[in-house]
Amino acid sequence: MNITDAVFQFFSSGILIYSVSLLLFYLLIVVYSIAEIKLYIRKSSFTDYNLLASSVYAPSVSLLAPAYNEAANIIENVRSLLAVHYNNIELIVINDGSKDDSLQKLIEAYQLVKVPFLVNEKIKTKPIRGIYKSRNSLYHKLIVVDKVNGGKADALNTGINVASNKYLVCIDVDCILEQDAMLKLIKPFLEETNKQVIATGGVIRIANSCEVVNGKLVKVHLPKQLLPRMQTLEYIRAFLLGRMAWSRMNGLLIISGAFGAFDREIAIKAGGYNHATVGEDMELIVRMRRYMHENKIPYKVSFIPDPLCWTEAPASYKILGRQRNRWTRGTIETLQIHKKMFFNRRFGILGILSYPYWVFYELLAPLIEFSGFVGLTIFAMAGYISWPFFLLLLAFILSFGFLYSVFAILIEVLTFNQYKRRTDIFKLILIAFAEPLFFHPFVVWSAVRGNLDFIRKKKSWGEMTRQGFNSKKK
Amino acid sequence: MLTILTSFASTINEVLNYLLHHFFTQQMLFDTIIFFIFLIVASIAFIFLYLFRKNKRWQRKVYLQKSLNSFIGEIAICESEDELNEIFSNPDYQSVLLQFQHIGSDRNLLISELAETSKKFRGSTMENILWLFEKMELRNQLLKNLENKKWHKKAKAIQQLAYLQQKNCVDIILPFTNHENELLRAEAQIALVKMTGFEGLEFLSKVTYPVSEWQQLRLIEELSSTTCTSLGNIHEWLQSENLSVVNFALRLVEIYQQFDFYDEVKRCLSHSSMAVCKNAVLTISNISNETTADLLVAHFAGYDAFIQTKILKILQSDGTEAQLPFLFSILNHPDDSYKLEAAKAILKISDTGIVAIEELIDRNAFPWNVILPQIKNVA
Repeated sequence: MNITDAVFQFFSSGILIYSVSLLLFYLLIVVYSIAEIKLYIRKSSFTDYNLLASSVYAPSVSLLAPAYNEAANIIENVRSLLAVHYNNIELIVINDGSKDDSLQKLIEAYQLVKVPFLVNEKIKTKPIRGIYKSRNSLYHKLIVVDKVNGGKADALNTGINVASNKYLVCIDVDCILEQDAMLKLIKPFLEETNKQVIATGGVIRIANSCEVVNGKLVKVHLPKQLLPRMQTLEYIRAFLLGRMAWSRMNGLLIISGAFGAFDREIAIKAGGYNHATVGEDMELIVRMRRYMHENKIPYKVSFIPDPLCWTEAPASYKILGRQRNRWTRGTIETLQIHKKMFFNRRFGILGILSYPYWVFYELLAPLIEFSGFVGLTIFAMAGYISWPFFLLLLAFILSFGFLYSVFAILIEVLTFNQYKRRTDIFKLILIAFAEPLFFHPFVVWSAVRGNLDFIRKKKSWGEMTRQGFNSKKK
Repeated sequence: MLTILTSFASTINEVLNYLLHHFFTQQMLFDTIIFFIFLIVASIAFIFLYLFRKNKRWQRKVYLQKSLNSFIGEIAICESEDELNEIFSNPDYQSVLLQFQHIGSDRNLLISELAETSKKFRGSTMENILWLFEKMELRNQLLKNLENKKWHKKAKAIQQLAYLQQKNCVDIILPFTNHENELLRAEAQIALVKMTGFEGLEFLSKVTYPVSEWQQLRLIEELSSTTCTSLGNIHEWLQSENLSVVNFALRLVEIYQQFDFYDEVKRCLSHSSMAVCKNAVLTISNISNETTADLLVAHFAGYDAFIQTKILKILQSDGTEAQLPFLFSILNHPDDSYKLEAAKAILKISDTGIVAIEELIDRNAFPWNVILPQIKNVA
């Protein structure tokens, strides 16, 4: 066997073995997520969430909403957050040095005045310019912090310093919450008896084309545009299958930055958000978990399969590319910061399973997929591999992709069934067949570019312009 | 070194070669693809079949509910047993009831409807609903559900027995209050309290599993709709080995202002569990007497930051001049939030407190340049 044959053999078998192992992991994820969702739905049928909304004994929560240049919608967004269904709450809006008139608009709309307010700086942040509270008792839950621009992580850390309550809920200011989202997110903290719950997260859904009235989602529609529609399927797959399975194994490494709850004390002890990474949401969870492991405190990160929060997905390839590029860089940075955990038995399931999974099947997957496709095409063209075998290999990968997506739709239908019309389900199934051909290659390419940008030490967040919801006022 | 590496690479290559030619053959790939396609088609067919059946089931449920609602409505407003019997034997309603005679799922629907209705009513309406429940011999159906192997069916049956006030089933439910299944156990505990009020809390003397915070909230909510008759066993619960029972007992003392248990709560201030200490601090501040503030100050050093801050906040309302020396000492604490809370307490206790603070500190330096305007602003 000459060297070229050996390289070919190594490469093609390696790709195949990698693919099969990935598929086996996905099967494991499906099995685990089904069991977890089934248990959750049964448990929920016995739950009266209103109990938590009205009880004076419900735990106190600080809702942190960082805002940067959000003047266009800030008044409505804050109104929507103030109307959230939870009594024992304070809303902290952090104006992260916006260049527009966000702060002035808030001052006028909510009758704010600057107040003396001691901030115990447990986490180092950029300076605070002022803290505002309302003269109107109607808005007594609102605190607005005006600070020097330092990025999302720095704004959230400022919020953590200002917060006085036991639990923190971090939210993107432009997200739309379900009526009982807070109740569902906080409940896991109260349920666990043997372990300390340090963070909880819920399913994020795509709000494009949905009807929004006065900051509330009133009707769910499947997005009309192709890209958001494909992301709808992608989110169902990721949240309903992936995260539920990891939650069951207590191996979850990420709670979405768009909406997640944390134990304030542990978040502070772990050092708060890291502003040196663009994946601050994932990094905080990994660091909090690491802190608990290192201090030998039994803990859990919970996940709820209920759709709790609706967000606008990028509708153009340009914005989507920037988002995925940033996600990739965030993942690399986080895994690099915590490389000590890689196959480290000291960190239990986190070190043995979660971290290696993220390295092999999240971080390396786009690179292997890209190089595998390019490499095998070259081998086929050079005659080292027969075209029928190449096409069979491609069909094998694609058919599993279709199956996995169809299975995610099946689970969605059997559980939360957000898209009531049968035509919507049919459209989702069509998307399942189109997505691997049109959407997935672009996502892989964006991830490859994310890797290149990481090597080039690019640190930018990337501008994320939004189109706005299908919003109405009544 | 190079030889070892070459030999290692060669071995790997041989393994891969073996796998490629024995497992990942073209035929195997082809068969797998066919299998995947079969699963895809079957899943899609199942999705639409499921949606179709779900729709049919929903339509039947709506039809049955519609038939039942007018009947239950009529039953609910009856004023005598004769009237009840008259409506029950009405041929129109008999045909409705006939549908609920034999099919288990339909009988369960009837039970659910009755249980839902019973949530909203009390008095004679409730009695009429119970009359119908007896007349249709639905208890047997619930007891049958209670023997089901699935925990959620058992839990549902317990819940419905409680809504329908089947007090003669208390002895059947009692063993479930310490069941290994957490949710079954929780429903049984709630059912017991729903049916017998404070007496239902007797399970706390036997429960060996932790009572979660969530469950405690549910129990408190359930108790809020009944009059507090007796908390006789609270002495025992405050000394329980089950820490969650101690915490719950402390909450009960706090909510129902059980001053008689002051000494037991006082003992809990020195408990080995910080969670119990925290609850004991909160509870004792709600049943406080003239010695409480000193007691809290005496325990202050042994607590974590969370409880210490709580104590400083409690002193803002319960403190007296006797605690001023302690509070002034806190003004030098390295944590600025302690300084803030202590200053607030001094201001509340003493009219001259602010002057005394200003004499001790540098009002222009941080954090006092923020704390002083803040406490003056609040005052």
